[in-house]
Amino acid sequence: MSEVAERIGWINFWKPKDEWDYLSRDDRERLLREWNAIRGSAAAQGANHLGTYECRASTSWARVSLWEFPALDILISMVEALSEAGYYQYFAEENAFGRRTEDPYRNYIVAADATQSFGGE
Amino acid sequence: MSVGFIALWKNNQREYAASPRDEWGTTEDIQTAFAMGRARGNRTYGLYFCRWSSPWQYLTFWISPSMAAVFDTIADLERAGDFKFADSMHVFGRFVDDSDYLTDGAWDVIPEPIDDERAPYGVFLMERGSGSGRASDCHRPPGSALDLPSVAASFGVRRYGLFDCRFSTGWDRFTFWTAADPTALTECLAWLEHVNQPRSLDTFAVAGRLARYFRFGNHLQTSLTWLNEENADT
Repeated sequence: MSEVAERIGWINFWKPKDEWDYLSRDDRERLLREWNAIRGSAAAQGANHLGTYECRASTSWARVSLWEFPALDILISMVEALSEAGYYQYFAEENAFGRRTEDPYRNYIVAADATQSFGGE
Repeated sequence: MSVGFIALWKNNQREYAASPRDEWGTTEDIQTAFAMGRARGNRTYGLYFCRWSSPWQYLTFWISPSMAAVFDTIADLERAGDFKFADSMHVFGRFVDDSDYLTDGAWDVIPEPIDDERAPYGVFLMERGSGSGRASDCHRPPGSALDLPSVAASFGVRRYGLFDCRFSTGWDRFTFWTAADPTALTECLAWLEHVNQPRSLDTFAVAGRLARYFRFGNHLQTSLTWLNEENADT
């Protein structure tokens, strides 16, 4: 492991559930403020929200948000706080995370070399 | 932070065409990667054959002391060529310290096939629900679901803990159980379904039977004592 601090990438697909449409405007605005404050708290701890993208044209989701976190705990804490604040009652998600690498092909070069050493073609 | 890791995989066509040198050279490198994983503190709780119950061929469950221990071991497996012969699905979760979902001493028990005895079964179970969406509900289903420990014990089901995976998947949490026979698992799942029905839970389960040997292509690797190796380090 490198001494450089790990970075955690997070792919966050999401879309509103039906219940969202039946909230009052005041409730929606209040919840959005609460949820944004939670995300802001993660950002204050070093999380980087790279952007949110419309993706209905290419997926079964409405939006995809891309993030990078300095530590897994910060990501999990953010998701837990959103859970506590009712976010998952109104929005569905599909998530994936990964550890950042600066040499993404290295392991596959090693694996291919090993395969060739075993006589693989 | 203890973490749980589930791997589901199925061999691809390349496995049927591999030369013996490629099969056994890769296998040896994979075993080395697993041994390095054990040195990092990973524990693997058996190899389960699940082609009969799912789109997958095998299922394994790990407990690990950290995310890095899992990722470093996966990186070792990549370099060993582990993923060239199979397609896989992985689920990573953070252990939720709730004794209601962890049979006392379960992490010390690595299931092992015993000659002339029926092999035990394992089941990977994920769930998600609309509910309140609150973390407290995510971690602890309400009401009579709290009786699960006694029900599981009555069926002889061993539970390996609850793992939060909302941050890493489209699911809220997962667990892994073992039982001496599929009837016990079925009864326990039926009970859970009955209890959870009002909560509109969505579930995903894969059940497998503990395998002594790994099947590579059309043959069993009977010279490989993978499970014995796992126990040897304990």
